[in-house]
Amino acid sequence: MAATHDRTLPGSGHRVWTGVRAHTLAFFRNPLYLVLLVVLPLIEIRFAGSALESLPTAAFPEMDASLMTTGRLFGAIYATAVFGGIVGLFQRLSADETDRRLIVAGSSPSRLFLTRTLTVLGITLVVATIATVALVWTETVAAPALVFAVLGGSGVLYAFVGLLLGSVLSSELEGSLALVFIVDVDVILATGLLPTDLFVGETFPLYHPYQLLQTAVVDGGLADGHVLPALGYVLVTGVAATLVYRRTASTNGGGA
Amino acid sequence: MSSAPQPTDVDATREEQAKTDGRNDGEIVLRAEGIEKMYDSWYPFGRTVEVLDGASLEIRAGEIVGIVGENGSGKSTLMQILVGALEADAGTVETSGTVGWCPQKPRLYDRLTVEETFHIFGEAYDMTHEEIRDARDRFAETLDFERILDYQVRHLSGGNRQKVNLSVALMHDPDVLLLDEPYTGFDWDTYLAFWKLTEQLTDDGVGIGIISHFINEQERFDGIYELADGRLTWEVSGDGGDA
Repeated sequence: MAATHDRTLPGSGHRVWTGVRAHTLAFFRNPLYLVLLVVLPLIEIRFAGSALESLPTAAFPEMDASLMTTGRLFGAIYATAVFGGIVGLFQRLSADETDRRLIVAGSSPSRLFLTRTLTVLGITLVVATIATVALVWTETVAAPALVFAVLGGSGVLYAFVGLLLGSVLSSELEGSLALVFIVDVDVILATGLLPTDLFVGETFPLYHPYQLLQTAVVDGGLADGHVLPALGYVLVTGVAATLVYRRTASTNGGGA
Repeated sequence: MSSAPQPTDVDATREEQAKTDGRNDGEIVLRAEGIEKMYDSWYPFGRTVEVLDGASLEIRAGEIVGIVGENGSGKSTLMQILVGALEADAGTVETSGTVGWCPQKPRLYDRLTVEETFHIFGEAYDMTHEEIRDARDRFAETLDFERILDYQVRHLSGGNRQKVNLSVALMHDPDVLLLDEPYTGFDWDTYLAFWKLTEQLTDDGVGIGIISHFINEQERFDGIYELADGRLTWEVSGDGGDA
């Protein structure tokens, strides 16, 4: 650098903020994302509630809540998880080549991952807010703040899953299909719509958040024994996404 | 993988060979030796492709070196390894000073404006806001894209996108510049401005490596490496940019 004047470089926090601001702006400049951000939770909550209500109650003897409530909770947690996951996936996969150029330019992979993660978390919390408002609008909700916290946590959990898938898969189509499939199975097993004696249903990531969501809506509290496992899943997926990102950020891909 | 090239016992021999090859006596700013790279598939029955098999090259301060080869010969892979965007299976890369990289396909954020693009890359290069503004203004004038600074990258034509791509590689005044077909989509005036810019850079002591397909450009280079069968051969010495 030929400059001889006093060089005051932007601090680390400022650089993270520059990245988060840029990635968030880039996201909100896509009108389709904006539409889906609002429409997806509304449609899912409304349609899933109506669809389940039309089914005979006798077919679901083990359901704790009414079928309509179950459907709305299904829609809320599905919309938040799938949107958080897709945003995480695309923040990692679509920007991979440019992110690697930024790393070559001098940006540290850790800082870049932090900016991506904060961007995804911010967008996910917006979806969780919209899903909470839609749920309060359509359903009697005992504790809206707890519902927001649980939905936000579910979205963050799947945002990390999306970041993780984005680091190990090479195409957006593969990643999107894998993610939607996982969320589908997870939510169906978590709600108990598909009765199974297999313990495997309880090992899926959304099992505990769904139990928390149900009690937050119906009773206004958090179900015993589910908070720590739910937080544990968020922590494990977050650590896994970070480690895999650091391993792959600057050295994968490329074509001759 | 990247560190400053240090003098070694074989350097005297190297210098003798450089004279024989018609190289200048400038400091070596980039040296790669024995680079190997193979692409392997994660999937069963996937194809394994050996791209580089002991490729070696050096670039000296103030010279322009061309890298040529058939489609799929591994030129872009080599360049990604040289800049550190891709890990080699074997071999070493040593660089002296800062590196600028202009990839073949513009690696820019589509929904950021040109102005924002300069800002985000400038901060990555450890530039101050004033230096970023200076660089933006300098390249916008040289390559004639002042009027598109507030456009999102996705709205730019191929040529304008390439101008921004090149400017991002140059904005921090690197000591070594690696360009992968940098003039794709340029109009004639911009093409000439590009070569004038490279002359200024080499006069300032910058070492430049350019992947090129155009045989008629060979006279602009101080020398050419041909990449074939995963190895580089020092093939032709041109007129050193006198054309």
